[in-house]
Amino acid sequence: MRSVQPWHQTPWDWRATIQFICGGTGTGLLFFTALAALQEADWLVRTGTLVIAFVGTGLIFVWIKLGRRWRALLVFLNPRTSWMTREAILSIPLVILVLAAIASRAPVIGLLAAVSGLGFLYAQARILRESMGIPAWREPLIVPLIVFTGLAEGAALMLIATVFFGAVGVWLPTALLLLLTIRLWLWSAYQRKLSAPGAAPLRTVAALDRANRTVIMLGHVIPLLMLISTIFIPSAAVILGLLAGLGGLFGGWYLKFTLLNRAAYNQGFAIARTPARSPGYSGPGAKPGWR
Amino acid sequence: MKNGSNKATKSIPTYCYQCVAGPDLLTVKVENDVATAVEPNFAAAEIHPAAGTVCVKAYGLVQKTYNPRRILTPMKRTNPRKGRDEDPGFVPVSWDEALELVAEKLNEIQATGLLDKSGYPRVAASFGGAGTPTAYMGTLPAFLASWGPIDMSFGSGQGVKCYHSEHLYGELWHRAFTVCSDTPLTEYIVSFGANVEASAGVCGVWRHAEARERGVKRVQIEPHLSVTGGCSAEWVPIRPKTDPAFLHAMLNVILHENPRDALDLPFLRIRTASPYLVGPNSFYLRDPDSHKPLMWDQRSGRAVPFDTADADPALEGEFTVTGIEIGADNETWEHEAAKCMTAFSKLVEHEKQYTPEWAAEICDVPAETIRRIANEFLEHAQVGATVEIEGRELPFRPVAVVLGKTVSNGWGGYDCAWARTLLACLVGGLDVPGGTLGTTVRLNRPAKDRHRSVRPDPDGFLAYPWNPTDSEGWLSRPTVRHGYRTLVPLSANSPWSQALGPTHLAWMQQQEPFPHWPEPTLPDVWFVYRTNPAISFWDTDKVSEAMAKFPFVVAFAYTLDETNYMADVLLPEATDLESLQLIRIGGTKYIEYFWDYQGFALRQPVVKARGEARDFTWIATELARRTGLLEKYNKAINRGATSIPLQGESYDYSLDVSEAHPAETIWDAICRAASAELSDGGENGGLDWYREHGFKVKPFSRLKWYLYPAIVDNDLRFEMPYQERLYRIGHQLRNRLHEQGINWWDKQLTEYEPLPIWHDLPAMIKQAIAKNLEGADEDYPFWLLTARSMQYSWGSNVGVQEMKEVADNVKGHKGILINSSKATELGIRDGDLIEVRSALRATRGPAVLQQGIRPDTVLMIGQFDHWATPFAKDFNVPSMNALVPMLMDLTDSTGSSADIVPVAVAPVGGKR
Amino acid sequence: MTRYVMVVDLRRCVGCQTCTVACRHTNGTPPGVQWRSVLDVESGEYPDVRRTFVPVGCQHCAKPPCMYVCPTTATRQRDDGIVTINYDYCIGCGYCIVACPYQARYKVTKQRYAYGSEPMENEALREDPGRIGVATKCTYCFDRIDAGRSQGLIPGVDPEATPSCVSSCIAAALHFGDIEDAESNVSGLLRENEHFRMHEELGAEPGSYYLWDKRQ
Repeated sequence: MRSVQPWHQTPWDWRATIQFICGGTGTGLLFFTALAALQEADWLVRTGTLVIAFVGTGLIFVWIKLGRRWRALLVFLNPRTSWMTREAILSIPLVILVLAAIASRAPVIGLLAAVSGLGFLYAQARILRESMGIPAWREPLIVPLIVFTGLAEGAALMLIATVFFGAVGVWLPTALLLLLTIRLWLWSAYQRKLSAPGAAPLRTVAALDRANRTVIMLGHVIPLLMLISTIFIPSAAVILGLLAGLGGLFGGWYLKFTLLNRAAYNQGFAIARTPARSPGYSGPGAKPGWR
Repeated sequence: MKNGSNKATKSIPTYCYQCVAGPDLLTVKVENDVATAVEPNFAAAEIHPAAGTVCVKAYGLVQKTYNPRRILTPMKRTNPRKGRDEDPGFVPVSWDEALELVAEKLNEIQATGLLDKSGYPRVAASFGGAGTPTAYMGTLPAFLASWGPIDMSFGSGQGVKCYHSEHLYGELWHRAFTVCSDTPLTEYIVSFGANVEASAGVCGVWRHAEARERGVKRVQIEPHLSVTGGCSAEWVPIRPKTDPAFLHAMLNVILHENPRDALDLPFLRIRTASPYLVGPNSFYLRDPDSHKPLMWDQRSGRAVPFDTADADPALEGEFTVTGIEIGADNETWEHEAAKCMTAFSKLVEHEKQYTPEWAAEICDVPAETIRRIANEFLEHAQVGATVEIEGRELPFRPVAVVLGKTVSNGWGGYDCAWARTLLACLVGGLDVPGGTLGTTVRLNRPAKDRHRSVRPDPDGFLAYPWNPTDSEGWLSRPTVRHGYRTLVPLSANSPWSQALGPTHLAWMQQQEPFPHWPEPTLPDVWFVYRTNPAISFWDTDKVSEAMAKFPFVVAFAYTLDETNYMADVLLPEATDLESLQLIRIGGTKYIEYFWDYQGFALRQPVVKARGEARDFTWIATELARRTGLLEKYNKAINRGATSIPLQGESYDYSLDVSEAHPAETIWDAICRAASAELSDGGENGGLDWYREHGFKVKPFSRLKWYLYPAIVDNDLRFEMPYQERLYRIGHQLRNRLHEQGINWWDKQLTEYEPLPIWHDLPAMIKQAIAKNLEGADEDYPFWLLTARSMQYSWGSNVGVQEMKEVADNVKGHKGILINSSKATELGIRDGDLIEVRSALRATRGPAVLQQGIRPDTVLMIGQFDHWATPFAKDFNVPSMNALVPMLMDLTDSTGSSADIVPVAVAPVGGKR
Repeated sequence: MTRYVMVVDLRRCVGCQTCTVACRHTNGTPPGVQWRSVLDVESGEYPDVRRTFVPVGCQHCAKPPCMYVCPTTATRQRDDGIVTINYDYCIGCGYCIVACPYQARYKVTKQRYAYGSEPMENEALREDPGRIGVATKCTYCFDRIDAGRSQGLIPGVDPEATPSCVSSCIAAALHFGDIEDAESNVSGLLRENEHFRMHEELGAEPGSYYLWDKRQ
């Protein structure tokens, strides 16, 4: 039956979520890898390979969700208007530059890779923004939200990486602290905006509401408290940083899972007026599933 | 995209008559000898009332043809035990073996006698779809006619799923087997649950869409906001089965709150029995010599016979009159100076008690709403206006009242049909342009011309072919199991009458014999076609049990189903797109089928029949041949058993009666006769002509849409408001039945009232349940109702995937409709599994929450609940049919009962 | 210029789904894919309730979000406004499906049949592997339009040259024609009646106009 209420989008399933998670985390990590490489070029190898793994996994998942995988190269045909084409185009320098940076250990190439990574991340955000059929995605705040969560995930993963490969300095936890704060603010603003009457289907609002506690507490408040605690308990800085990183990473992933697989109800249908079944007897409109 | 246009593609015209609202015309696209698509017949756009379109059901025919679950060879049963839990063990047999099995049984019957020890026909047959199967059974009617007596009293939905009271009383009062608004002209329609948008076919839907845009106001009065309610200007959620109270209150407002001259007084005086004087014993006061009813002539100041020329009859008043009254069985009273009121004054007095305030309580509708609707009806009537139709000036009364199925059926049906007809008469709007119209006749004859069925009765009314109730004429011994001629005088005795008798009685007797009634024998052979009473009747478990006892059942089978599960032989007939038949189209027919043309349409094989499925005409001819009835069978065809006589004044295409003719030969002759009939013998286009063109029509006068011209031409009166004939017949029937010792029909006899009295119908239903089954009133706080589904009604198409898919887009097809607030109160969410329990049994299904239904009502659309029919058995959607008991106490005098039962509703946890 | 649009008369539609199934027949869509369908929309609260039947499908927007997002240019817009999908170009990414605010697009990943895993003869004949794994939607029956126009027929007037949902409609609730032609049937209907377009605020400039009353 054609539902009258908005229903959850189905074409972009968990595979798309993995793509958005991997793409965001990967390019975020790339950004901090490039910064760390300015201090120590080995980071390009240490976490650069992780970046390739993430970005590559994301691209593989976007490929396997295609209905016609062997035509995938046609994706490049619409740079004029499609952010998916643009994302695909940006993925080429991204992959090449990351590989080149790993091979050359040249921080400059690392920086260039990071810039293309940011472009890729932005394209990902715009892909959602241009999805006119999904009110939770077309909200303009989705763009900074996706970009900043990508960066936050990158910083969080970088912080986790430092546990194994050695610290890079206080700037990294500070950056994570800042990014988590910005993401928390963006998330709250985004959620508030969609909860306003007429902004999104009720089921979208409910889905965001259900996720809110977890996103805020596990994804932000606790990691932030841990990061702040490192100032007072320097002896536990490593473990606190690790936990903060895991929290920040989880928060971003859960947020994206929520956006793509829980809150992505479509527009549904609406009528501006109910028809006059006799002239002059029309009635107010209806928008099922919306407030 | 694959494009079939470069292959061998043809477009073949044919017809669809899957529902009573047809037939309509279509074309089928055939690519490489495979039917792929149904399309409207655009060639018929000019002559068809809905521009040549066909409804959603017709599109199911392609899947119907290729359904892999079809039965495609004759089968015979190998398990002698029958029942729902017994696998029939059907095995394929040849046509020869299958037909021999059937012929052997029939020949045995011929040898022993066509009637059994109870006097009942040994052969019975049930056909569903409200008569539509005749448009698919080829020449089977000729075989049935050649056979002799056949019991068609085992119903499959009649009386509870049809418009039963409307059929019977409609035919009595204005030759109206079904009744509708004159939709193209009307301006105000009061509809008591008439679900035209779901059941009036393409003609009805088209006409009402036009009317809405034009400016009609339709008020839909029904407990659940149906598709039709949704398309109406106003929805009035009335308490179920209280419609007579609403109608009485409308009459009260019109008669007691409006000036008399707001009514069509000349119409009432001249075209109704309103001025007839009613004697002290409630019969008309009559002229002692001529026995004609008397009326008070204001000009001469005395009572005169009703047909006195130049009389000026008094509509109202009480007069002192001399005359006689003739009651039941010619009991006569002579009166000198008796005080007699006119029938109209009787009415006015009778309706005084039924105020809107009184009805408001009963109907749960504000008095002001009832009052407003009554006044709007009156205001829109334009009393006095006229319109010219084809050069003849006729009254123009653009108001109509129409009734739905559950309103028309069972107790209260008489009241509603009467009030509806009377409302039309009060404003002079019965069967006139814009008003409330009859459509066709099935009890009166001839069936193909309603005007020609108009014959005068001695009292000045339309004559009616009652089943006699006088001592000499009454049929004391029923000829078929439900005894329609014995019990229901109104059901007449036309070929349709068996289907319009109290069909559930035939089933009820199988459980428990009726006292002083012949032993309820089983039919030796039962033929079933295009019907599934095990699903479509009421108390379906009981019906299934009964049919499992039938010794030999022959089912013309499409797929396995719940009825042919009990069959002994399955005969696969070539289905809608595979077989040959010519039928009448156009003129006026059921529901809203009003054409400006009439003629014939051909159904032809658009593709070769699949498997071993055979054309019905071939099957009928084979049966005739194998039972030695070939000559009679051919004669029946020649006589017109297929609805077209092969011999007319200027043509003769009669078949040689001694030969078994191929189907094509038979239908070619019928086609030629049809062409000749249309052209007064001038043309003889045969089968090939129809194969190419699909249909042939000639103009049909719009004057024939209305009965009024025939009433005027015959100087007759509509029998309103007073029902003296019914009153007398009821008394006579009582006398006859009591002479026979039969008192189980007494309650039904109380319905023969000259002016219907309000009975608390909801209470009556609840009392009947409480008396016959267990459970107190308060145990069943909800009313369970049903509504028609356009995608399925009459269609025999429940196994068609496409119908299920699109029907699911219409609310209610996936579960049980219940009021949202009430559901929340009971802790039921949308989609939750709920149990609905009547005093008979319980069923389950997912709840579908809707604002548009009364809080005291739940509704199950259509009739599903299949357990054998492939595909449909997986629907998991319940039907009300299993929950509705067959009870004599729920049966009205016409032998019908309504689709309504008190139930309890409870969540059972989880999703279904 | 020509721009074909659909005019839906909500006053007339009864939700019968004839258009839904006529579309299936004309376009050979598989079970579950309804390029056109009619919604059964309830509004209000008991007892003040309304039920509206709303035919929906691709709106052939003037600014189609689906087309902008399509990475392969499989989705295009013809000069007459019809939004098309080139199935040979579509990679089945599903982006257009989430971009369409009218839920008009479908993607099936394996052939579906009405009865189980085997096709019926009519299904086998019309099966189109080219439509598997790609986005599909209402085409406005452009093949009928094009074939009809080449024979001098007028889309929206001559049923053979008109989308099958429109010519099958049993309530004349669906109308089709050229909105750029002031004399066309649809232009006349829009002049004479009050109307709205669905989700107009989203700016896609949809091509379905819903009539709801006579213009006062």
